[in-house]
Amino acid sequence: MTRRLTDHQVSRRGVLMGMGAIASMGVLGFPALGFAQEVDGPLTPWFGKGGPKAGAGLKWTHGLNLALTGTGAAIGQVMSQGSQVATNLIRESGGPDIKLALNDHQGGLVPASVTGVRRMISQEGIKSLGTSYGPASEALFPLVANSNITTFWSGGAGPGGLNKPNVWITMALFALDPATGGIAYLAKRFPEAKRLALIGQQENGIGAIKGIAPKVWPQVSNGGTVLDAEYVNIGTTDFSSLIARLKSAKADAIFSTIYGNDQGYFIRQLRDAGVNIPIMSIDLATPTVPDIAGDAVANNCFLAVDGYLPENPNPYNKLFVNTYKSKYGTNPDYFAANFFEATNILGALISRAVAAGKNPEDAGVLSEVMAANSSFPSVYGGSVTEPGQMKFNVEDHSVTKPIGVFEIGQKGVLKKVATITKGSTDIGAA
Amino acid sequence: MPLPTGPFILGETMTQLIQLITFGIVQGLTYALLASSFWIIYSTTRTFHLAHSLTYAIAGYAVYVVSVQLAMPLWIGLLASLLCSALAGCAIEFLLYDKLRKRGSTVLGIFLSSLGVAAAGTALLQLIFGPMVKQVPGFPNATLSMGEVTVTTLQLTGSAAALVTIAALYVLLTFTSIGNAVTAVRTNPRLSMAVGIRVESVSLLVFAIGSAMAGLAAYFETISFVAYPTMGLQPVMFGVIAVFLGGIGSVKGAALGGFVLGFLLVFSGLFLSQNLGVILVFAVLLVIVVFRPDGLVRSPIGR
Repeated sequence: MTRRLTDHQVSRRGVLMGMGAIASMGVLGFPALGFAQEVDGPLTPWFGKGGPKAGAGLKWTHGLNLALTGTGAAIGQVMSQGSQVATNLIRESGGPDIKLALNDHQGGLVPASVTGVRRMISQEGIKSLGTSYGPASEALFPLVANSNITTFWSGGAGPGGLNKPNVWITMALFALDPATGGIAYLAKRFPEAKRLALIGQQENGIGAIKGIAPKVWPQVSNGGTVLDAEYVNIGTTDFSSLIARLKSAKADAIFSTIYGNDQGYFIRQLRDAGVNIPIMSIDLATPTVPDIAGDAVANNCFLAVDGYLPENPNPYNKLFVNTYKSKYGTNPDYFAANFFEATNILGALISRAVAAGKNPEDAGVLSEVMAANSSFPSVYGGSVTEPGQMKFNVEDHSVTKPIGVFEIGQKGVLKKVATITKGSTDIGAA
Repeated sequence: MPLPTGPFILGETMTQLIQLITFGIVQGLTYALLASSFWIIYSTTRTFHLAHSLTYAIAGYAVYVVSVQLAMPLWIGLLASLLCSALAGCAIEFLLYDKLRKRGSTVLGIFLSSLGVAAAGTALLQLIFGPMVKQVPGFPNATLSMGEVTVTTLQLTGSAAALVTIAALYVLLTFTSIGNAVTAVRTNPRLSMAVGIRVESVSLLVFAIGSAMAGLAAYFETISFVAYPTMGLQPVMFGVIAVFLGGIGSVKGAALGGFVLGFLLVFSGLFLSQNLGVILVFAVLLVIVVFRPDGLVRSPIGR
């Protein structure tokens, strides 16, 4: 080796010149090279430019824990579609290469949820998770905390997810966030209504039925009374017993936290029984509930929720709707929208971590990045020129996003009739 | 003010009582039909036919295909429901249960295979039709009011159809030679063979009858609400419970068990919140199983 160097007669001056040239290239050339690799894509206006600094090419597996069979299968399907649209747009925009892995919790079964997510962690190597349903998601919290899996709870989320390590709730808290405003709207729209019936399911939304409604209704209805809460089991398709009790109690209005397909059966049977009093719901599983309820869904039914409108002209939403429609041939719904948003938040967190020179796979990095900036664009609210905004509370991991009151029309088409705020009785314009 | 939960009093609660009785009869007849459909299969072939839930769902999709996709009238949809469910039931018996029996499979083996067919068939329906529910509109439904008590024309039609079908089954089994053959096989299959009754044919026949009865219930559920892959699970589960509540010895027992179960589920609303009604029904079932193991109606042919 020494001999060879001697043969080439490399001088000290030559070596120094060469090093200087390389250093110059480094100083001048690398930023130019990096700049050249920045990518503009469909998400750029809201998430910034893509490229290596945004995690382009970084392989990431994101698990989805959904109802893919059973009564909630239709919901699980559109949720996965919402996520799929997001991963495609993130890739096109020069973000990380997110692959989706699926687990079927079979309509909320806890064993199927825990076993399946454990399998996705150990065998498919997921590094983050999107999940839906109440108990099926809550059962995962110890697992995702121990395994350092950043988790987005984007369907049927409840207060059980607050303050849980690695868990971020990406939707308004089921029943709790919209309850106050929804009940206030009922009182304002139907001032003659004095007797409010409360109907719910024990598994979710109980805080709204037991805590919020009995407190808020007497205040907003000028001394109205709340009838005893009635509970039904998940999966109930016959509500005749409850309807007979409602008729006898002469309720003037109903606040219902029934969710899933059950709501469709309830509305249909209530109207068939000649009970036409207003119903304020906090869940509308489209398109199944409108199909089950038929015309009855367009009879005095309201929804207080972070309600999703495909026709919302905000540009971020328009991108989502157009992309979804071109891929699946139909407008996205509420569930697809929530999973679209959540997957984009994941993409943004990974990009921000890479840009900050951190490894997004390291424990706690995504949470650190979230704490540094917890605002993201939203397909809810906004204007023709601006997307809506959603902001996470980095203390309890909840989110604040636009909530509306909607009047439900034929085929479940929503018409926004008021804007409400989490925990407030103030009713804003549509 | 709480919803009325106390003892029966005149006035508003009288309305509730009559309404609950009305709804209870409607629901009771539906479960009576389902219980009878499961009973004729179970009592004749001793097959714990859980795939009955699949037959039920197939009937629901049949009316959707015929009356929505092919745009034919609802009565043709009804025929399609009955035919498809009967064919599905016979196919399961002929292609699976009969083969398993001939190979000496145990009751448990047949039960597990039935469970497998139910699960796989449901998944197949979802693959074919997708997970979305299927609506079949078009029945001229109207709400009839008698004071504050209401019932819909669809509920009345479904109840009448259930009642007529159960009565027809009773007549068939009691007064016809076919019924005699079914009773003979139900009582003693080996002796039936010895006297020239073709047990396999009788088994196919009871599968056709029982499945068509389930198809009738599924038809009314589909035109009332929607069809979906798992639509048969809960009704068939209650139908099975009703058979053991009423007694497996006769169609009267099964039908009575179904009626009592459905009626109790609704009528318990006079005293209990809806979610507690199910608990009451299972408590009644437990008491009956312990103190009257033959069910509400004792077997006329013994065990």
